[in-house]
Amino acid sequence: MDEALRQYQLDLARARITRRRFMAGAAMASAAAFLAACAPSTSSSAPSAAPSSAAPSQAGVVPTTSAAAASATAEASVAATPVPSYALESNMYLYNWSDYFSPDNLTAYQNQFGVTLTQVTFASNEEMLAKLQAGGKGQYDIAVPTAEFSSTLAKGGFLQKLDKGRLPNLANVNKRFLTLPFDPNDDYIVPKDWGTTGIIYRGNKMTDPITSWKDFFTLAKGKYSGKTFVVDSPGDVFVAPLRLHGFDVNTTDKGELEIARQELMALRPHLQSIDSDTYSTTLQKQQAVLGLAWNGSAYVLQSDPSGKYKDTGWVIPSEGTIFWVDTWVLLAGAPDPNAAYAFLNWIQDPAQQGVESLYAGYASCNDAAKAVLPPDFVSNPAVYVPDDQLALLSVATDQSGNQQRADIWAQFKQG
Amino acid sequence: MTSPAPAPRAKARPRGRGLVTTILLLPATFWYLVLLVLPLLIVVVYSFGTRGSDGGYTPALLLDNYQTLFSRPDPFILSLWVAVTGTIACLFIGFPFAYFLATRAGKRKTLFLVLLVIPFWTSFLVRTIAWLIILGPDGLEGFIQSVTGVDVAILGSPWAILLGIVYNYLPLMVFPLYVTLERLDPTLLEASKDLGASRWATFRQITLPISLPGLITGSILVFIPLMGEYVIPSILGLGKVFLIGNVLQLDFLGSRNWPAGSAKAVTLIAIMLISVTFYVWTSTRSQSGGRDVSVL
Repeated sequence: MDEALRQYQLDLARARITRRRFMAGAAMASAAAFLAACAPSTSSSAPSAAPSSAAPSQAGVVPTTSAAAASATAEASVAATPVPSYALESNMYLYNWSDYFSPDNLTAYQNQFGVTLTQVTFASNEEMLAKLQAGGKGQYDIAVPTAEFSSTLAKGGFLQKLDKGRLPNLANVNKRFLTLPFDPNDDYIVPKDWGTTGIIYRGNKMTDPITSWKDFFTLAKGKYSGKTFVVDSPGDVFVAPLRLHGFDVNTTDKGELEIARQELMALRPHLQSIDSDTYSTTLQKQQAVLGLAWNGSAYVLQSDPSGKYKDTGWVIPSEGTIFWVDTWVLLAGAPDPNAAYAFLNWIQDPAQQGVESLYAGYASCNDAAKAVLPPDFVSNPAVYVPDDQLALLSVATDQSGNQQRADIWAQFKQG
Repeated sequence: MTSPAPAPRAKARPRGRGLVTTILLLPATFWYLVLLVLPLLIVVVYSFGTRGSDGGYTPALLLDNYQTLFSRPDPFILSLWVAVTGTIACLFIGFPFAYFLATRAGKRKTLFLVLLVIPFWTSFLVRTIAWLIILGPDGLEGFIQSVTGVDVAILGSPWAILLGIVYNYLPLMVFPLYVTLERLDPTLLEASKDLGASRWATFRQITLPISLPGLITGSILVFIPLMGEYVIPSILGLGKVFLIGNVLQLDFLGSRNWPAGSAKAVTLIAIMLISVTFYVWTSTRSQSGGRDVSVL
């Protein structure tokens, strides 16, 4: 009897379950996993079917209504951007940082030119470069690298030389942002905006005086331990320990980087988070009250309509920090070059630049736009760095290939 | 019952059957060879190379990448730990639920199954970020703060991550278990009780062995993706938890060091193969004819 029972058990286990029924169970579970995997993911996937219609002959011929729209949207005192006289494609693909292009401008562009603008996002320069290297060529029209990456992109053959004749609005750009060392002839880049990396804090909770990286490290490891964050960006986080000891931000000296590593590892246990995407919310909710971040969010928090975050402060540390310029570039193999040129010229129109600046909180490189922005924006030290502090800013170069820095960063992330 | 079964007669195969079989197998074979085996071979070859000057791959035959890997094994160990605890947690929560579904749910069975699957109709990322709100200062942390005055940090702790993992992976555990347990004949349990076995003995000797195939499938379906999981720990760990997936992301998208990333990927696959094989072997060792348990 026991034998029979055991045999029955084994039969169940062997025959019926292990084959059919249990395949069904696995199939159901796999279906669930498949659903999960196929659920739309947020960032950085190349537009799937659409770019196959790359042929520019598939025209949106400029509709006559756009001429009226052009004059309607030009609220600035400068002349409106002329409607281009060449045939525009029906799509344009923008490869951008997240939350870095005003939705108002997106709608305005689509309405004015009749072109559907699709935005795909990336989280860091390195990620953008890696994706382009892995076969992103021909998928996007315009990308937004930080200036120091543009030379790497140009060297890798990912950029097209710009036809300046099609970009008359470039005359609006401040000369300081042209002929940058990364692109001395401005063959490739159209400056977008510029900003700094520094210290952000909530003034109502973080009441200690803070003017330097030294203060930042002391407070982060001391009174505000567990309430400090840094952005998830090695190029920015390395600035703090290097400038703390007076080293060049672009140093590759092994000894100097080792000292930076020790500083970073000493800071690591006291961090609330290492995050570039949601730190604005973190500051709003005061899960962290002190951080190493970019200046745009300082302005956005300060000017929040609810008025709840007016106490947000921004500091350019006295030891110095970096400034960076974000740029528009035209990618090689762009499927919609005409629409892209129309965009690049249109975006340098002061009206559009004004909308962009107020949306992201970053200073525009465009002088004509500066003239039409509200005075409290232009005079806000968190946006336009005061002249006496300009000397503290240095330019960073692309160090993503440095193995020691990569190792230190991996160790830092690990904790 | 004791006489040996007669040797199966060789079936006469009509001609042309071989061709049809081959054609039917062609798409799957193509898929496996070109889209699975070939890329894996490429990864293995890359793992012996060196980084190009601007990132990427330069052909070489060095063991450097593996050497640096073994000198810093922490992410692997942490990933293994997360995967094992996540699987065990899913098991402890999923098994009772599957048992309930199979034996006591009755008419409500479909309703419960649908409720289990509905969260999967939203984006995986949205589901995980929702936990940021539920556990954060607007949610549980804030509630505890207001009631006890203590500033507790749930987000960033291993518990938050475990919660996110179980939440996202539970259906993968429940479904195979449910399907297997559904076949459980209640008369067996009654017979066992009649014969004087305690509840625990019944469970151990009847229910557990019958559910074993489902248990193995569910565990593997949860363990393997968990080894490579990094989004949930990244979000709910507030960027401070560093697993294999994070390392691969840094290698491929950060320093663009493809050979180093490939070496880690190969090691990860090897670890998974070894652990899964070991797990299946130990689980089915006790059954005579254990090799008959088809898992995949």
